[in-house]
Amino acid sequence: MMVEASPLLRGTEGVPLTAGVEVWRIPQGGYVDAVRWMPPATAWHQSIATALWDPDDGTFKLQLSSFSFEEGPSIQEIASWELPERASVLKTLPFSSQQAIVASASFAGTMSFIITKLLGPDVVPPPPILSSPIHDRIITGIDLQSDTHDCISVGEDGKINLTQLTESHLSHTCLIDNHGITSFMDVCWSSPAEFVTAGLGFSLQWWDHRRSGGPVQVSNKWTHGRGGGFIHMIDVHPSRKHVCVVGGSNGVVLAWDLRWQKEPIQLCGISDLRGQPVTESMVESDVWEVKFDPFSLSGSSSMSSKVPPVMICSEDGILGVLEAGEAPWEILAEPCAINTLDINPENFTDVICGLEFESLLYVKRSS
Amino acid sequence: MPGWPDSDMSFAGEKSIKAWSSDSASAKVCISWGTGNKLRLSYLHPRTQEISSTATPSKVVEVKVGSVSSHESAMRRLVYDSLPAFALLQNRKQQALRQSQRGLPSDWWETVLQYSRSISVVLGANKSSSGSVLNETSEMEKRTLLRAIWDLLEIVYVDKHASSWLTEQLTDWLERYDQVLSNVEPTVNSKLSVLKPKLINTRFPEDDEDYWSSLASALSIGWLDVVVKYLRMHGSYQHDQIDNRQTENGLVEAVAVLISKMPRLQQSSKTDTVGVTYTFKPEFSKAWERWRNQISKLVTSVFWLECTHEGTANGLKQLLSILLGDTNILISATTHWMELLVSHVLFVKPFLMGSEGLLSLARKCMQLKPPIGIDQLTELLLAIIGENTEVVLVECRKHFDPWMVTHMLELLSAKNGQAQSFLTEERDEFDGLSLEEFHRLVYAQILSSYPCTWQLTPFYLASGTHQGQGLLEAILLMRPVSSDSKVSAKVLDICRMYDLHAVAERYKRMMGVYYWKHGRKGLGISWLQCGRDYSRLTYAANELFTDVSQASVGDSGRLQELDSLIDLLGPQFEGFGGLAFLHRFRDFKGALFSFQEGLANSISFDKQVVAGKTAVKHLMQLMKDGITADKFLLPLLQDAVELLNFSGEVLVSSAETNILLLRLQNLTITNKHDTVLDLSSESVAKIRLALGRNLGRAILKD
Repeated sequence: MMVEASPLLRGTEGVPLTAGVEVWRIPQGGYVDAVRWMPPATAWHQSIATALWDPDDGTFKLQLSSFSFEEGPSIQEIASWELPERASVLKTLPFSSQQAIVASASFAGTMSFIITKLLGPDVVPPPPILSSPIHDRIITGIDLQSDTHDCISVGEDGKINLTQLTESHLSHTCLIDNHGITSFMDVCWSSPAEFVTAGLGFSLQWWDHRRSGGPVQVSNKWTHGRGGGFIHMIDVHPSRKHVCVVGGSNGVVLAWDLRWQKEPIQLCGISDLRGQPVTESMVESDVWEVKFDPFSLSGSSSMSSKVPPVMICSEDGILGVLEAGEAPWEILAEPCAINTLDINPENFTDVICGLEFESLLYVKRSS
Repeated sequence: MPGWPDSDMSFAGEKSIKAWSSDSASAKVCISWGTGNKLRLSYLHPRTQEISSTATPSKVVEVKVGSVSSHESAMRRLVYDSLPAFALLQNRKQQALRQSQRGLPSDWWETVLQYSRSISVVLGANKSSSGSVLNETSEMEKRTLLRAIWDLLEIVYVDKHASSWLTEQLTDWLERYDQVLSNVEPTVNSKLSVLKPKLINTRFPEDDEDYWSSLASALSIGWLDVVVKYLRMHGSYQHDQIDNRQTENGLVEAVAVLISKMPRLQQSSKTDTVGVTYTFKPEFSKAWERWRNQISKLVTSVFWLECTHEGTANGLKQLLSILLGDTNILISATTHWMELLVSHVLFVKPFLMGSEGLLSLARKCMQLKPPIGIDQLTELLLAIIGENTEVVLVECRKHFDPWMVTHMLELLSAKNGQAQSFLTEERDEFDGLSLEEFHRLVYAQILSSYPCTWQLTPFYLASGTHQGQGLLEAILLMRPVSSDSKVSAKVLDICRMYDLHAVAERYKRMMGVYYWKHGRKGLGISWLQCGRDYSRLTYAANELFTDVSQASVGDSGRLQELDSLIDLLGPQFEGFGGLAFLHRFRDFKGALFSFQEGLANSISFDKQVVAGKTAVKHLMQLMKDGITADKFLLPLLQDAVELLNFSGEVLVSSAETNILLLRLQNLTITNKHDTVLDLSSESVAKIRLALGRNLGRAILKD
């Protein structure tokens, strides 16, 4: 089925769009749990992976669709599979020059992997390989390592699992199990052996899976005085592994540069690091996704001492770009939450988002 | 709408209807409402019985009650897409009311008109409205009907300018919605759709009686462009004919030209309409007279005698009589009374302004053309035309779902002060609610019972001064507590936006208890902290302590696990009962552990003394008043024995020993009969001995 996008109609009262940005809304027949760009076969064959929840019959679907841009964007389903459980996280990664991985984690602690040829015409992707539950209930974060293709997963149960995958086989190793005493909300690789986790109380932990025992470094001590709150999402800069950004409750976006700082830089949030209220914050509620934005990289931010710009999306419907020392760029404000976002790794101008109102949002920035 | 529950079925929540069991040892079946119109049946396995492999495990099944509809997603799309316009209107209304105490400004209707147009566009977007296209025609028709009523409400109730251009407004409306006027009798639209394919294959359509009757019908409701187009398909325009049809052709052309010259009173000239536009009424009436004279002249012309084709002559004469407003011909040309009404305002009463005369005209038309069978819409259409707000409301409730009723109330009160007070007046029979708020409550309750729309309820409830706020709070607290962080964030965000701090705090506490119960201790503590639930935090801290004290001293792994948890509690919580204790206890245990480690690894004496003194320092912190509960005192003192008995150096000073002795003394006096603490046991004697011996050593050293 072909679903065409309707250009976003905005009344006179709507927030004016920043010049040079075009926005389309693509309605879906269900709730978008996650959306990711797929590694493309060629520049002309863009495609996306979507995790959908159909509230009518309570089914969950993983869908691969081609994304075309002729007279406005439209998506066409290539393949879709019913998932046994609702997806909580979705990630995609090139597997080899010819193949891609789609990994999804579920609310029931299971994972599914698809290793497919890059999606072009006439490619029929194979069905997903499903794992048994490796976490006790929800998996809150997974990340795929770009060199080793290892998948690291964390959950509310306080486990950190390493999953290695070959074409048809999965093997799991449990690295940490703290029996639910602390929970992790997200995880991100920083090198083939090191990764960062985050969760409760705006704390970060750096780990090395070759070393047993506790984390290599912990950030708790840096954020004394913050009180309660959660981190929902981490991103580590792809080329500068010492730079890391997190987003969480109360509009908080924090960036760390491991080399310099005793304290993180706060990019956004309704109160500062000492708990004092901040008068103007672009986002006031939960930040659902943070991603380093290579598109917004200006001359000054390419300096290695500065934290590069970050794109965020939030519960209160804001899609924007934050950079330390610069005014925030609010790309658009939606009437509903923006739950997920992904920047096209092949074409940084293109951003795809999942909206609470059962739609995808496609944003094109003019280069 | 199918798929939307009847109002008595839609109450949201997990309220259990009945838990039924035939006998306590056997299985239980629970029946409760799930989300939407789902019924949840839970089969609970008996607890006492051993779960054998053959027994059926506990299971939950959800059954959908009522018709299974594939259009819920389309309906949800309407709910989503209409929300921004409604929210914007409410914002502006509040702004306007803040600015002036006397109520809404006189140009308020213009704001409502904008709102009405946005909603009308949303109602029209049925093609690409959702992933699943509205493919069933019945569903399409329903949506079009909804839009038809919406647009008519806009003409009558909202658009103040519409009354000046009423004829054109009604003609336009009929053109868009003629096809949904009736589902029992054919309309002009259906007549023409039969004719259309026939015309393509016919050279001489004038021989067909349907051709002329369809033309008459189309003309009677003002579809001039269609009539002119079809007239030019008349057989006399064909070149290769044996008969001499020049006069006949001249007559056809004359009628076509007259029709295309019809004067029309319009706000602005539209490019696609046939006719001559006048914007000024006196000019229009002059032109109208002139045009009517031309028609009369043509009717009495001698050329008719020369017209040999009888069908053409009759057909054309009939068209001319319609233009002249011959009531009998209009009655026979139209099929529905609404069509007859439009034909009357077009040709019989072209100077009708405002809606005063419209209602009586409509009633007359209905008598002339009584609806076949039971036409459900008749009452509603009449009520709208007559601006009879009460009947409009009743009929809309009968025919449409709460979405329509809630959203259209704004139209009714746009410029009609009477309707406004009728809708906002507080009514005793509704417990002080106004009709407006009542309908919003109903709609909000339906929204609240679906997993994807409950979060929209505040838009419809927040403005309600009476029960809206209460219902909103109930809806928020009824959300099932789960690991879905999106749901909890949504609840808290709504609380933040609408200043429901108490609800937010309660919700956070519920989350805390949920996670704690499920063994997610850190999450539980975090949420309890957010909810500032100090009594439960103290309980949690006590439980954590029991955990720690049960672990053997050497089990550093266990302590490390808890370490992160205690860190999580943060220094700002140190002042609170068990938490303060736990912090200090953790420090004491840590110091004691390194002291013990030192003993085992025989490190240098100095270091050993330093470690021991640190441990004592932390122990003394724990002994301060109000930090340590009595039941934890004994294990602590037992731990201290090792420090007291350290042979190399006196670690505990005489003053400190005195404090410890005092605590032990108090403990034994106040808890003499406590069997749990077991104060008579050997261990107490051991502690006493150690304390006494140390006191001696300490005094000597001093």
